[in-house]
Amino acid sequence: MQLNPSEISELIKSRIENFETNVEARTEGTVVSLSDGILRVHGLADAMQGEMIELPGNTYAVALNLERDSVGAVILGSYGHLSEGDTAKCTGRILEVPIGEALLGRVVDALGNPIDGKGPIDAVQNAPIEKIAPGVIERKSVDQPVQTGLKAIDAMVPIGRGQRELIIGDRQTGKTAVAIDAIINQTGTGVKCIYVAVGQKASTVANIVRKLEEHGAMAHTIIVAATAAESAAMQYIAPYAGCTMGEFFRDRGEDALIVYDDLTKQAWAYRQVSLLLRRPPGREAYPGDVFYLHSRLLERASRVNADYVEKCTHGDVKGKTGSLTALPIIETQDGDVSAFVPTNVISITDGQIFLESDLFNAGIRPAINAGLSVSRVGGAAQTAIIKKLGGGVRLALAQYRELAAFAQFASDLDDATRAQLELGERVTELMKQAQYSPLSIAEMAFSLFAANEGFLNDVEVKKVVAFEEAMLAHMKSNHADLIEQINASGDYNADIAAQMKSALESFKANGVY
Amino acid sequence: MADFSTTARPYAHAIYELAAQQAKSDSTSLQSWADALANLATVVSNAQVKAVLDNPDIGQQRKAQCVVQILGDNLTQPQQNLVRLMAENARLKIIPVVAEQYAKIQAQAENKIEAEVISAFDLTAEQCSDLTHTLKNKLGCDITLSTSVDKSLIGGVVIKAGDTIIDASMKSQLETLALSLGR
Repeated sequence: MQLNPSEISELIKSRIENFETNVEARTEGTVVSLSDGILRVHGLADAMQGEMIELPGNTYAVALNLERDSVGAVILGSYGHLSEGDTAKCTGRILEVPIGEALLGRVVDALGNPIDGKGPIDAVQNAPIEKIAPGVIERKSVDQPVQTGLKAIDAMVPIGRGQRELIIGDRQTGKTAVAIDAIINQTGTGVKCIYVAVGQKASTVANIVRKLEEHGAMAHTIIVAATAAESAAMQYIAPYAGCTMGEFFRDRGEDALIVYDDLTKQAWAYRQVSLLLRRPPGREAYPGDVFYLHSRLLERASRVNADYVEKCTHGDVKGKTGSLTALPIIETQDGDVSAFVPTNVISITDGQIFLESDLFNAGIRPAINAGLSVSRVGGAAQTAIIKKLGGGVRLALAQYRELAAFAQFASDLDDATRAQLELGERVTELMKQAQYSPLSIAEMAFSLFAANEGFLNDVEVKKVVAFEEAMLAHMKSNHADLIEQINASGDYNADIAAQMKSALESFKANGVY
Repeated sequence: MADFSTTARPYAHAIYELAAQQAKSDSTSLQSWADALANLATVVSNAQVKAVLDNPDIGQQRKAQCVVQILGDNLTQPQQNLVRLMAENARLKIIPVVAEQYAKIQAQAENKIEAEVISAFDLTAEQCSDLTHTLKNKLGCDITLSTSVDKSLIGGVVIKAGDTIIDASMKSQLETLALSLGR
């Protein structure tokens, strides 16, 4: 780009001309103590809860404790240049982040500042990070699906637009992988995605950004990163900042998907801030309001009705509902779901996807425990064809688990039991899916149909994965019109069933796997 | 430094209530208490007195006597009693905070506020009275104006009244402009 000096001078001139300062009375206080990112300010008699406090050097803090003689606040960012005796000013503003389309494709910190080196973000609006969730009247029930592209999830624990579905499991069980696959599968669907990384390694975040770019998913995604190196205050507010960015799309009648990775670390960061602010510790040393910490965040994920969207856009968008789907992630320690934070978040969300290290190590990936994973509202949103075909799979797996434990002791099994066990083994095999390879509705339907209609019965267990791969390739090349038809409508009827059956029969007759 | 304001508050309130009661018969009592507290604050902040107060070998009553002796006849009987009471509770060191809070309570009760005006140039008498009048309307209480000059402000004024700051100086506006251009 050629630099044009006059143009830049013009720019500066116009900015100076349009510069406005209003002189207003502000309260000022003095910093009396400063430790571990916690600031105690004397004065500031009329500070508000959650108000931004301005400190020297363009640094800000958030007022969290309003006491009789002092205000306790957490500093956002570095505080090396601050010292006792500095003046602190009220700003009269609650913490805000930029929102809008301009953020898509960008990596920002918890305050919305770009950290991807791609220059400033041209965001036209700001919105406070803490908002009250839409009320009862403004909501609409969940009835449209979010396709994650993962067979095991879309068939057994379907997620609807506006639902909160928890992804829970130990470390190294593929929690992030499930979420990233879900984001990748939103490419071309118009669903905007926000990925909030809390307390993660910067290298992990960089990897995720690269993977999303490779799969063309970055264009519809915002990444909010508060890495492990950032202050606890930033890690605490990052999910709220991401949520505000997601609500922008929801309130304009669009659909958005937000992943909080992970809320355990956010609770840790909040515990640190609370203990440093000398709030009384409770169970596991978390403060008393750790439930509210997550409930108010997850309540904001919702499906809103057309009236609400119309009101939010001042009548610009009519007759469209909006949604914000949340996939919070919780990391358990040694499979302990009865710890404080996991039980809290399980009770807040509309179901959970339970990932287990045993399954993961046994090569079943995604390592979803079909028995413990549930979706309380997603069933209403499931695509008709997947709902019809997925029921059988769920049942087969449930019966298989029951019999498998039982069959270990029995040497001689009757034919019905043996058939059930064999089907279960094959379905377990069929639910395996490689990372970064989301499936379309039709592809899933063919796999499920094959299992339901007994096409897998004479396939060796070891060969099920290869069979599926070859079968899907065959369908894509020879029955493209049928796949297209299923993907477009999602309906299931006798006609489609017959077409699928004949397609599968032709593959079984001629296909090689 | 530990924050003694919570400990000092009941003392300040008690002293003010007593002074207000006495003021019914003796109109100088409020001011006399304010002066006494200011004197006591100066005494206990003195390095030598501090050394005595910090010495654990000296009894609390001895410390009280020492403070009372320094001020001699400047203290009335109730004021001497205050020193002894505070000594008994081992609170002599917080007298400066008590004095500060007492001043605040007195100012609040009399609906007065001290406003400090810092300007880039000397203010004329007319400007001062204008400011006093405007501030009185804005803050709703009597204003005692004190002025000072700070050339680094370049232009305009900064008004400080209690916690409230009205910064209408050229310097702060330029700083805001610098921040907005740097963004």
